[in-house]
Amino acid sequence: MLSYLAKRLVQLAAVVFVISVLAFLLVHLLPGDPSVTILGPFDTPTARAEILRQLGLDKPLPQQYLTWAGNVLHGNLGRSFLTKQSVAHAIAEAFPIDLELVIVSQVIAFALALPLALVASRRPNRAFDRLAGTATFGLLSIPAFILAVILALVLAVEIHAFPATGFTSLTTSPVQNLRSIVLPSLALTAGSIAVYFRLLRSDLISTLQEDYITMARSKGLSDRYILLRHALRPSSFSLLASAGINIGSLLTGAFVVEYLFQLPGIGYQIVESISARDYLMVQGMALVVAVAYVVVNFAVDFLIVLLDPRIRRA
Amino acid sequence: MTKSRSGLAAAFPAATELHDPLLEVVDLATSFQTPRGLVRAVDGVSLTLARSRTLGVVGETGSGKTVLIRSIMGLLPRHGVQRSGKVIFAGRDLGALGERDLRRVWGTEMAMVFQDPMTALNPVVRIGRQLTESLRLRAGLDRKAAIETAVALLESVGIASPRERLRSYPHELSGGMRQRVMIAIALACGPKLLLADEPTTGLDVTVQAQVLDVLGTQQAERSMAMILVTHDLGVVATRADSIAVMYAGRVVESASTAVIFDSAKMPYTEALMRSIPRLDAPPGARLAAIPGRPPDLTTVPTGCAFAPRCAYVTERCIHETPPLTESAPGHYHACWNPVGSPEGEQAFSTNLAKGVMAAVEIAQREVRK
Repeated sequence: MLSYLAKRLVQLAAVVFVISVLAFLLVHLLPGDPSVTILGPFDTPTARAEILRQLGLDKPLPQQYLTWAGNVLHGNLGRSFLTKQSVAHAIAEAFPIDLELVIVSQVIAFALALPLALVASRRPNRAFDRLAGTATFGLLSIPAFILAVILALVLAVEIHAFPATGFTSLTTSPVQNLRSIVLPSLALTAGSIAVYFRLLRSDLISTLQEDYITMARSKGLSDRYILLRHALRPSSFSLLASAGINIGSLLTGAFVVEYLFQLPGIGYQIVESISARDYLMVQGMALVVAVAYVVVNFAVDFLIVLLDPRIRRA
Repeated sequence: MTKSRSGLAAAFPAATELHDPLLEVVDLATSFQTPRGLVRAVDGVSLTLARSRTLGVVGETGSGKTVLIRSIMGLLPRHGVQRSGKVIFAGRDLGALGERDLRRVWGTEMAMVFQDPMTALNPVVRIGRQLTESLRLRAGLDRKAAIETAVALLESVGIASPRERLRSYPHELSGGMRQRVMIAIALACGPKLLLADEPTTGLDVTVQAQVLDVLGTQQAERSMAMILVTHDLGVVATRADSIAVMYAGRVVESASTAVIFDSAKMPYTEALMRSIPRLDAPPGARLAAIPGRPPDLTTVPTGCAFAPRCAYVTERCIHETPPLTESAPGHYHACWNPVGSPEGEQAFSTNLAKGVMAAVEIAQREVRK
């Protein structure tokens, strides 16, 4: 178990290194260098060389990378050329919004998909299963931005249950914060519900055919006990693996929803920065998102190892 | 159990119960709804089993043995199954009970040992919980008592350092150990009847003998009845009091073990016996395999189901189904030309003289018609 974890940690470090190199190169590979942005109309060859020297961009790439990586490790991601704002600070403002959005939407998704799948799998292809299957498929096929608009129209504009746009931070007012996060979370959760329901349902159905379920029945255990204590755990692996990937992609993929609800999250900021060619901003945010993605998936792998003792030997 | 009894019997229920059979199966039939049609996996089986006795159920793969014992228990898939007939267990007809009521009998009064302990033990649940859950939920023991009982059970089936083993997962045990664990689980709540479904098929020969010995010892200690299902007559030869031979979902011969081995009447039983390797056979002797394969149970043929593979076959076997008749007290068989009878001898020598399987010839004639 420990050696498995150690191996995975080494892997994790390697992946993070590769990500950091890519994030670093990302900006250098883009056309147009930052001096153009900074100088604007005052662009002269000497001024440009001076800027590049000041920024350290005249040094060889490996050296630039080491300087940059060293700063990153100290929490210094640089300052935006445009807003002069610290990148780390911007991320610290934006990232919690995404985190909250992802957590709330995933809690809703699991809270709905889990019981639906447990009930549906007991009688596959009967009325309840078909109804749940159709309903979730419907959710899956509605794009988040359409669902967002519908939700905003009905729940915000018509009945004023939630604010239509804007964000209140958790520290300002926890209640307002939750209210401002509910609609975007609902818009994001639809696809997750459908995917989680389908994965868990089909895995449960095949698990319930296993010999060890018949064996559990032969002990005289109740259906509910067998479902929760014998069938759920071995049926949850593909659900968890897909949740890991899904959560990772929601961190950036929430952009459209953030835009519609005017939430200044990471996805929103990245797009703003890309169009403004704010290269340090893009770099820092891409790095944070990628590392978060890797960490989430590592956590999921770890959870699966905890749940499935057979993997620990590998 | 709720039947009214005479005053004397009520005062000594144990004495009268000893004379009642523990299990009486009457005309049990089970069919499965499949895309290819209705499969008649068990087709009118009757048998009785006394307390603390062992019945061996023998037959090839696909002869309906597993479905038979699962039908006795009522442990069948919930949908697409039709079961009929009576299963009278300790005075109650289980055939009439739904799963909710059957569950009270499962585990505590009858328990099952499955064929493959790798797939029948939950791979992600520790042995300890798989063993203690029925003790706690069914026998009502508290946590500590359940653990102590589990340790004692594992020890009694011959598992070394049982307390540590409770924390193991199934994949951490060898095949023989897993099967011992499965037996311990089945025995946990002290059943009166143990249904063992090919308990040794997946094991090495030496381990097979050990596991069968464990079963035998436990059975004797607990005066528990057992149905031992196997495809191997050798397994039941020394361990069963009586044997029922199954073919295509029916019992085709049944008698005490000694009678089956001394004077089998049914050509299929004889063929099964000739397929057991013998120590006293000359070196290099070939094992007699049974030609062909068991019939497809979706299309029930008329006549005897074994006829197409039988060396004793005659025209009559193809057209008329032989009934299960009692040839001697306690010896039943279903055959028109039994082994050792004048009809049988004649049919066999005629078929031998023709040099081809008579069944093949008869079948070809049928096709030409």
